[in-house]
Amino acid sequence: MLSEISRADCIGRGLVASSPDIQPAPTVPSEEFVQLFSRTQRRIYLHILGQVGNPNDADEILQETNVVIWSKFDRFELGTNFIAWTFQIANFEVLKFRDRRRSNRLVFSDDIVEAIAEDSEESQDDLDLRRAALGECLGKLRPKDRELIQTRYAPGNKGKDVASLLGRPSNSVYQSIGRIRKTLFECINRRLSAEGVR
Amino acid sequence: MKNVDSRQLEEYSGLFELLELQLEDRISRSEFERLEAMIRHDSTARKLYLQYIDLHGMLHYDTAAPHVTATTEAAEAIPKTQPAPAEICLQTSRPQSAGIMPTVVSCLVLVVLFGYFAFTGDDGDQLGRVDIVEHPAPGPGSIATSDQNSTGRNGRRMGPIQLPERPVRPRENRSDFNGRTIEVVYNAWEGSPVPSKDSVSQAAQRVGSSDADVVAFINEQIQKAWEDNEVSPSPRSEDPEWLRRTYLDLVGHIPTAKQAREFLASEDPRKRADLINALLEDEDYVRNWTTVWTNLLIGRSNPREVDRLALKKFLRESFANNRKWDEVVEEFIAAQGNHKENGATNFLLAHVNDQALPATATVARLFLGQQLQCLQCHNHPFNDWQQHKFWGFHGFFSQMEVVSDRGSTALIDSGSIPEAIFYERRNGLMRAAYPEFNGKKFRPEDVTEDTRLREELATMMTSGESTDVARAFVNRMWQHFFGAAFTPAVDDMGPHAVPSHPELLEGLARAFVRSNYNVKQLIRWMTNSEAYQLSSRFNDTNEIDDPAAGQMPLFSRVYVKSMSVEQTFDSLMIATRAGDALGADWDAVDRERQRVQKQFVMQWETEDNDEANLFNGSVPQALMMMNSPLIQTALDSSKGTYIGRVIRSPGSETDKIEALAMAALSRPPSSGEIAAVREMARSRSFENGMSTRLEDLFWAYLNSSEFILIH
Repeated sequence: MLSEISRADCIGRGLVASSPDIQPAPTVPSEEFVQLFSRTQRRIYLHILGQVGNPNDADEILQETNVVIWSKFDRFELGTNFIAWTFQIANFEVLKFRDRRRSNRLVFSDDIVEAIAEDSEESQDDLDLRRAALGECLGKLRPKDRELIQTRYAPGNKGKDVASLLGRPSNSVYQSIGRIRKTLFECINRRLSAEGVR
Repeated sequence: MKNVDSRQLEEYSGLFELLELQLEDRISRSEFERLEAMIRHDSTARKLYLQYIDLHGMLHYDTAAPHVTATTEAAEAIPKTQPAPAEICLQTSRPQSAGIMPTVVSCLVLVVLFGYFAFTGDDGDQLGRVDIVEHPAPGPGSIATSDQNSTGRNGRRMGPIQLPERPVRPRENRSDFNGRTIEVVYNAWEGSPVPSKDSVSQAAQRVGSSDADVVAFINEQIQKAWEDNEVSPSPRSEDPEWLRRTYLDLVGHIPTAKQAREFLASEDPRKRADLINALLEDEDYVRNWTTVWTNLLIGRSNPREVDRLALKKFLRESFANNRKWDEVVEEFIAAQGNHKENGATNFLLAHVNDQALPATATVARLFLGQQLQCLQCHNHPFNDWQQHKFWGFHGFFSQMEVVSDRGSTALIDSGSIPEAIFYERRNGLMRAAYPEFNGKKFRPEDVTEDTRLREELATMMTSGESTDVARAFVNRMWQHFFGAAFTPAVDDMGPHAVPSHPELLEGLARAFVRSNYNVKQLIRWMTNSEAYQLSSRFNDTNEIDDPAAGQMPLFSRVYVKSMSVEQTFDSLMIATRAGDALGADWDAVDRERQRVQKQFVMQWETEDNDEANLFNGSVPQALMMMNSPLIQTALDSSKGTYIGRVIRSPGSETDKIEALAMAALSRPPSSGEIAAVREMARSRSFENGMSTRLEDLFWAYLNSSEFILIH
């Protein structure tokens, strides 16, 4: 598996310079960079998702964003704002993606995407708390509901798939899923305000 | 960032419908355009959209997917795993001196891809253990209520009511090393100075021992803060305003018209103090405080395995006999036995789910005024409390066992010698904790089979001249009567929450301890103080005295409170004399009250077992209550009801209007009100002009914010 990524692949993805004489090999990304990178993946993902609204599209854009982040690791100055730096890259990748897809899908208009990106940057502080809260709230669902939400979000599944999987009418499944999501949403917000985050 | 409350969720229910469609890819073009229009200019809608899609994204990204097994250690371990694949990589790539970098990069890409799937938990996952679920979270169907009721019976419109918005707390932003902003929210009043500990205890120790001394101490402390802040207090409240407030605060409902007339007619200068004494001996005093504390202890919904009636019986006896508060607290914490025989057991039984974590959090919150629940998972963000404080406190409940047999439940102590409790730190390391409170630790060698840890804890909590138990109770009582506690949140009195009147709080707590935790005496001190006599209206100088706007309370007026669901219901019963129809059957009334309040409550099983009380004291909700068949019958003037009797009584029009005003608002009608009713009655040509207008007037009174607020 390791050998699958060859130097040629790397060149093809624009990860490395194709000509060895352009610059000497820069240093390897520092441990700190790797750590920052791995810790911020979810944030970047959510930041992208807000703008495109579709988890699978967001997955795709995240991959592209990551490629760019890695290709430019030496441009990042440790100690500066990593999130801000990666968000810039992500925003640009969102833009590119939108240009490609504009014709055949419902996408937000530019001004809204911009506003969302801005809001998303501002709302970063709460994300970790929200996620911790989500973990707890999931734990408090009725087992039946938790199972349903797990099925819904199992890799590759959509609400439609769940309906056929359970042999239930899709409308009632959509309704159940929506109800559970809303329960979780309210639970998270309640927990956050209980913790004094307002 | 401001979070939304359930009212906002309702307001934006259309948005959520669209979001659901969007999330499931079922949205049509026109619906999508509506969604766009909604979030384009409305920042709240955009925030809700973002939070909702974040939830969707988090569920998609990790939480529900099967690869959520990664732990904190795994996430922290990334750098350590990095060299290993790099080495393998070097072996597999062609040897070339200048080419190391690209191979390393490609390997890092691999690490990263691997990391992307595996390293999903960086915190919070340790909470996955919470899995005891018996109560379903109620669906949204039980929430939506007020919309349908914005117009009342016969379509009469209700005036809107303005309740003060909760303020945004002062905050300060800091950045951590990778530029992420950390938001620091201080749970303190704006502009409150941090007092020195010495000055607090000096002033507090000066308090004399007689009732008059303590009241004088309250007056002096409150006045000092007025002077320091250059406000002058609002005028003394008029008798009707004070009478109504005192009834609601002490016995949980408004006075009857007869009681109001008698009080207003009296010219005795001591009539306020006399009324307080009389109400403290009223049977509804016991009923009111039993309700208040039942709700605090186990909530309004009935948790499983809990005998609500037995708990209420215990509380009734406690308040009827004015039992010392420290004893009551000790009983709750150390309670043992069958839940029907020892009503006090029901408090802990309501919180033994989730390995009794809610018990720990609730005991600390209710009886010590300390919010420990966050410490379960991390050190306190705003003060120097450590995670082990929670787990040390939790250790005292480790002997507790619940024995259930055919519908009968008992809470017992196993007599086992507690082992260390292991908990996970944020960095993934496990730590051990032993039962520990105020520095006293119970290691296994300190404990014998006869040690009852809960009793030990209860004794420690209530010993000393100034205890957190006393402080927490004083703070809560003060909030009950004055509409604001000394701290921004009544049950969050940790070191980060600086009280508005530290000396007063400390002095009252000490006086309360010295009085042997005499609850009625504490109430007497508070209600006889000058500050409690004041009007709720602002004057020219005290507009800044508004805790609802985040300002430090100065108690230069009595803040307006909204009635609880029980207060509203009972007051409606009194005003309409709906109880007459049931004779004196208060049990029937109680059942109806339970039924009515149920529609406002939803419960959550969480670490602190909180519940949402959707009753916000607004007029539409009060109206919902009036839809109760009991009250509807009472408001029908054609039958032998109070309103019917008033209308058909031989008195003059003014007398009838007066009767209704006294019944609903405990005050005579204003001349404007009388004139308006007469005017309207004349303009009607049909025969029943006056009686219809009287009915309307009674409705208007009951639907006014003057009725629904405690002022």
